[in-house]
Amino acid sequence: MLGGENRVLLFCLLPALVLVLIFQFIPSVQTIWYSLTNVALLGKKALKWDFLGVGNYVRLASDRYFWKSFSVTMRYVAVSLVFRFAIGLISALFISSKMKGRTVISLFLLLPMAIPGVMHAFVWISMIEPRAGTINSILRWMGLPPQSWTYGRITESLIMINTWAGYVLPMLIMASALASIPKEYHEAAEIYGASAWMKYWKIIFPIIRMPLMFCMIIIVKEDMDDFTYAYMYTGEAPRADYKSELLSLYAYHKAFNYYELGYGCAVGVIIALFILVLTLAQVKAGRLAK
Amino acid sequence: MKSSKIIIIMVLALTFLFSSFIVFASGTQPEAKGKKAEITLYTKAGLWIGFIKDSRIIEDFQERMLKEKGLEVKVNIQTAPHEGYGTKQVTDLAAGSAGDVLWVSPGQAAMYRATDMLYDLTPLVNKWDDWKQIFPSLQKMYEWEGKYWAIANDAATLMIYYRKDLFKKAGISVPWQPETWDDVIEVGLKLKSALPELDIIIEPYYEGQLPVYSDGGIIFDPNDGKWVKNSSSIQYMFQLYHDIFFKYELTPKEFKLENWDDRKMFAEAELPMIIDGTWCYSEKWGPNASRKIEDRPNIVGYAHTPRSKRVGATTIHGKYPNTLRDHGWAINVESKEPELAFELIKEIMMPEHNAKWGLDTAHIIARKDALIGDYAAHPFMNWGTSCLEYAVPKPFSPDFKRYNDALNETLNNYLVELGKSPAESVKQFGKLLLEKGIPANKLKDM
Repeated sequence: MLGGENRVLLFCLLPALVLVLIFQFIPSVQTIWYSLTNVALLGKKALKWDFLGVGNYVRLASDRYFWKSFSVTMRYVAVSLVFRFAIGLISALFISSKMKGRTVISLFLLLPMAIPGVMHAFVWISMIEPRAGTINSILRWMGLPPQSWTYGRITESLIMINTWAGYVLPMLIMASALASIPKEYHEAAEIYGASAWMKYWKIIFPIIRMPLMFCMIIIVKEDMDDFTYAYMYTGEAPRADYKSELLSLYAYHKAFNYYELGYGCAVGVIIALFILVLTLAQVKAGRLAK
Repeated sequence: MKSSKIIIIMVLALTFLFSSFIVFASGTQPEAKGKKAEITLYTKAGLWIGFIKDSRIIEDFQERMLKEKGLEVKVNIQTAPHEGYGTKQVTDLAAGSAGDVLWVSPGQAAMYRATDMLYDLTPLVNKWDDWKQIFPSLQKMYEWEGKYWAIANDAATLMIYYRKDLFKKAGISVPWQPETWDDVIEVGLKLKSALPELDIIIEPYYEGQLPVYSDGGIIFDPNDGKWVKNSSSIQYMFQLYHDIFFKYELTPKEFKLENWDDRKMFAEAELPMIIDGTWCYSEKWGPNASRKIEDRPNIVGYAHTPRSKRVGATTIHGKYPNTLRDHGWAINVESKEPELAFELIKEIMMPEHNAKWGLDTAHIIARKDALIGDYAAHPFMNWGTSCLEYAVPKPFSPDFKRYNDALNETLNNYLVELGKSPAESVKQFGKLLLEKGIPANKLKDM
């Protein structure tokens, strides 16, 4: 029997637990179940579907469009990680510094987080337009060749937008990690004549290596199931070259465009498995930190 | 004392809020006059809502039902936004929350039909006197194996729009009507020579399969239910596009690959010819459009899409084959009032409403007796209606999407991007049709 205090605790947690059960646990279990069937979104197969076991996963293994999406997603995640992390770190160092004007500039640095994700995509449409867009206009002015941002370099365009929109979270995580370092470390480094580079490379970063690792894992987890920007630039049907077809978008198109709900769920489960592995890595890293 | 005061105030406030909710949420109940019924119309948000309100369609329908059947009908309107309309409708259908009357495209309706989500309208259509007023090509738009699954509300065909000012600058007389695609290429070369500052001469395809019809071919044979993966007309199609992009260089490949804004370019006199739909005349370049063209009647010319030179004076599709698209009304198979739903469709499609809708949206009317009033007096709409004579409806099959995807992928990725030859493109097309899920026994050569 639960003691008085635990009963109160359970009572307070109950509403949230019910919501998690209804909106997360049950749909997750249902998704896994659907991924083992050939259930369709509507029609005959919505009512009379067959249990396929791992049939959908076997099909995925030989589906060249799935592997195309997979390769696009891996490239997107890897490159986004580098840029989001690097820009986030530089911004974090800036807002943690004592430079003049950092308060005002910090407000601008936080702007991408304040703007809704859908608006990011619309703003960038004018930036990446190949003939008269901002980026190609700047490239031409600099004497560089304009790029095909909406076709040949669509993956790079998505990475750019994702980086712009996504550096803020790493910046905030790393800024709070930097702020937690006692000032004595900085003072000791200055007394011993360490250069700024030495101070950060040999002292600061090793101290905050766990938050840095968490940051990287969070970035990868976020980017693995990115959907908004890819959808905004692709629409209801996949592009012929699949260069913007992230895995989450592929799953969406399979489920809602071709009505293959079971197959779309199988792709979703694959994404979830990746994220699960990353989460376990994150938890393990957290235990090591303690 | 203080805490009991707070409690009293909170209870009073809650009571006030609750009673306000009851008063405002309940609305006024109409006086009961007859037996009650309720149906829901599911359509795109935006244009339709304003049109239905302005035309008093619901009110007239309710009055007619009360008079003719003694029924007091409540009509709900359920909407989904333009972007993602198909996905939202599919989700609502799957959830059982879609309305009785559905605004559908041929592609959507074909999918719904194949998955038994639509009510068979054939018995209702056969009893409808006005059915014979619907243009034959539009009757076929939603017909499968002798049954009708939706009623076309309007139509759009493809045509060639051209800039009269640029044509005159290049010394080409207007009005212009090409008889064959060779005429189009000839004019394109004249424009290219006279206007070297232009990056592009023609936007060559909106629906890739058009040249197949231009050559008197077909993409689907209803006699045996098979899709055509190779024929002299399909070879002609790939050859024509290859010539436009690579032999005569009338269109840079970046145009298609990078999705240049063709309608904006046409509006800004950067693109002399564009193959596009009837709706563009008003929706893209009209007085209220975002890419309005000033003095549109003197700037924008329009012509039928031509045939191939080798077919001669005409084709099995007529002198100027084109493709047919746009939306119609279907009934949800789960509707509890299908006959009532059909009555609502009949109301929406009354000749005067059909004519007004056509004029407001620059879509072609669906019925012959809607060629009236301002619609009939409008030169473009009148001319556009004549395009229906040559319009080839898409096959009403869910596999059309797979066929079209395979064709677009072959055109964009293979022919245009990689510059592959027409022969290689035909082979690739056949491979992609299988990959996209059309079984081999449903494909044939002609």
